[in-house]
Amino acid sequence: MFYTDTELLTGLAAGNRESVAAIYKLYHSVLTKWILSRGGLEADAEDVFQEALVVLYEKARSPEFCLTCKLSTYLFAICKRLWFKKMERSANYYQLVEDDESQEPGTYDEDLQLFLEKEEQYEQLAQAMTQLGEPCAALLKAFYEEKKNMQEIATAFHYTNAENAKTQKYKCLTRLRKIFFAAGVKVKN
Amino acid sequence: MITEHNISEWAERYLKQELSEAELAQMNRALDADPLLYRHWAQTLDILRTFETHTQRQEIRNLIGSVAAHPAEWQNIVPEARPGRVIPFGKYLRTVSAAAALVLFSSLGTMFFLNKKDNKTEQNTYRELRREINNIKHSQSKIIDSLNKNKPAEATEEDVAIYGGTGFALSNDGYIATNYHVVKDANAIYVQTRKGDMKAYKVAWEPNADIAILKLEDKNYRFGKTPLPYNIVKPVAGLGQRVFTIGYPKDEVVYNEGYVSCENGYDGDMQSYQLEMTANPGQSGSPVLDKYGSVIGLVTGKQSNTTGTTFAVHAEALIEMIQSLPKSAGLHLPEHSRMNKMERTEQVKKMRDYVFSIKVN
Repeated sequence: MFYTDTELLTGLAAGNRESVAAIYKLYHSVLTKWILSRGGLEADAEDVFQEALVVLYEKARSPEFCLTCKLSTYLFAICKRLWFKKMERSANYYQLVEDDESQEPGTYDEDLQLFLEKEEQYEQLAQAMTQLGEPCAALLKAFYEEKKNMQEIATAFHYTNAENAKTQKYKCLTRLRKIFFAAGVKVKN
Repeated sequence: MITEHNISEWAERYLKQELSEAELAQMNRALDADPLLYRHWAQTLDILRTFETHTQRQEIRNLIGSVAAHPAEWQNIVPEARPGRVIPFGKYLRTVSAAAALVLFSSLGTMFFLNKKDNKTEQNTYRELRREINNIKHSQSKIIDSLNKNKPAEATEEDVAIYGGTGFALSNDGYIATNYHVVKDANAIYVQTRKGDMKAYKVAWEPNADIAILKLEDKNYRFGKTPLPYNIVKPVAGLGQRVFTIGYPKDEVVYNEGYVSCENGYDGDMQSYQLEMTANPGQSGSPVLDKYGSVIGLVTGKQSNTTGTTFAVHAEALIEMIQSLPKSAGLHLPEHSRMNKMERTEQVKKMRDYVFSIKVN
């Protein structure tokens, strides 16, 4: 089965399993080899490839999405950068300034930067959630992440009815906001 | 009506696009009016969006992880090897071994002949242009022998040069540039000047670039009445640049001209030029000048399977070597050529006194 780049990207954006498998088939082995050749492990290669696919997924979903280069070029550039970021985090590594063969080096960096910023932001939010304590954290998680409806939540958390659970949820969210942004201010100072 | 107490609810409905036109307009007015309310509203949106992004990412990660966990869906299936026809080896053993022997013999034979030929051409491709003066030496000693029959021949033979090359002045007070291969095995070096053969010694040398710098032992001798007429330039001359040289392939000075035919020399050597110009043994170390009378290189060798292809090392290597000399050497190169507007014959006449035959034994 053969797909064009556009078909693959729309498929990926829609969360289509076949598209993901097709991308794996096309690029997984070559990118794994590249990372292995740079002294990475099989597991590192898998992590990098999967993260790069998530970046590509978000790119494909963004409303102003327009890929100015081939899918393979984009994926390879993102993998490369993710790998360098991973290496930077490990202690004795000095980043090599690699000349990029791409015509517009800015876009990959921007996309990846945005991706990593959001990732960072979620980590901070998760920290704020632990400070928030129970049952609030579990309640918010159940609603916003596990997408449970208010009736289920009311039963699970022993509220008298869904309306009551909803009120509690809003209160929790307000508290979370205060903790999160208070912490954010602290970090900035 | 949006207030400090129900921001969360409104933010959630806003993201779900459940707000009516009227509600949206009313909300915008309220937010514009109260900056604090607006800030809290924006913060809430931030948090809700962070949750949303994370949830989406988790979903796609789960999908990707699940695909990764089922390699059968995407790995290229290697087609099963079909059982091939089995040939009974023992039955054909004699035929096969005879054929193999024949192939082995003929390929080794071909290789042997080709190699032999290759070696020969390889040896011929690059030749240094120092002049062997052995035959001259013999004829000279014979003449001397016949002149003074009572004197032993060995005494004179020792002082006779074996190799010859060309050198050119780097300064008026005794510094000379030539090829390293001309002087490398030298016991004594003689420079043929207007005053006759004068002894010189090696000051510096660089085998890779094939350059050596010599100095006359006589400190007071001056090559000419004026400073050097030519200068030495660093920039690499371009393809097609007209060049000329004068040197000593025999005991008289000989002029040759040609052009730069390749910016890189023998076997892609980045440090030298390929010139289309005739050069003969003895011209090693001759200066290569452009039409303005600036030295751009030194003749080092030629390609022997063609006539007229000559190699010359870039003057840049020479300049680098001069700059590496200690300051006490007092070697200063002229900055300008004083021959840039002259006719060729004038140029050659002017510089003749600064180019020498070098003999080595």
